[in-house]
Amino acid sequence: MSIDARLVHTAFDPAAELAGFTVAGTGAVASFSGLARGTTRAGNEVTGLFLDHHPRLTQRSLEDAARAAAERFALQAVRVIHRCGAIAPGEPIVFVVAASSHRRAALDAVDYLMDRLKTDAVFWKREDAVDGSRWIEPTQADRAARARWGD
Amino acid sequence: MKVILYGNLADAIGREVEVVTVPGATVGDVRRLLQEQFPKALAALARGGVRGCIDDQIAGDDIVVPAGEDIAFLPLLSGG
Repeated sequence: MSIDARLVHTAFDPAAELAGFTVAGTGAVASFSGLARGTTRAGNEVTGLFLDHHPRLTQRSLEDAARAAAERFALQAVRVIHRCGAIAPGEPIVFVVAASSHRRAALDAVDYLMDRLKTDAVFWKREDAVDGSRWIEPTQADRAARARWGD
Repeated sequence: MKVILYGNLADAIGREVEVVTVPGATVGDVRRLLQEQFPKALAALARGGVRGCIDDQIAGDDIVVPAGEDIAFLPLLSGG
């Protein structure tokens, strides 16, 4: 079992990360890439995101999520990469990938990881838009998605 | 005592500030002191999701801040 959780301060390439995620003998690799949206919920143009982070707790939260996914699903490997700092619209924020012998475990692990990261990852996210800046909190839908896993 | 702030609290107050406290000051005491010194952060500091943090552990308002320790205040998480 390989567990890798990385907090990165500069741009990264999910396609390159996926290409570099090789697991000998695996049967299924599932991944998700999250990008910085270009518009607010109200439809206004976003000029940038700022993801504030804690120097230790943020990394720990990524590791906890990856470890929990590895324990919950029959994975052979899992990797989480998350940006922090200033992020331009369209840039990748998060990338998760899981490998398993079977597709269901890999797909579910990615789904679980994203639901968990959306509520539990130690970040404070400010959306800077043409109509002003606002600090983002998880939505009810995010919390409901997190709760369905029951842990 | 050094106080470290994150998220909207850092926007309102700054990443780090020094406050003068009496020995035995609790997390709640530091929170109230910040509210007095930074009125524009008063409401943000009073929110239920704002938690004190000492030595990377969440610390309730009744916890005494050990001498020589920094304290952080963490707003409600945004998630990733």
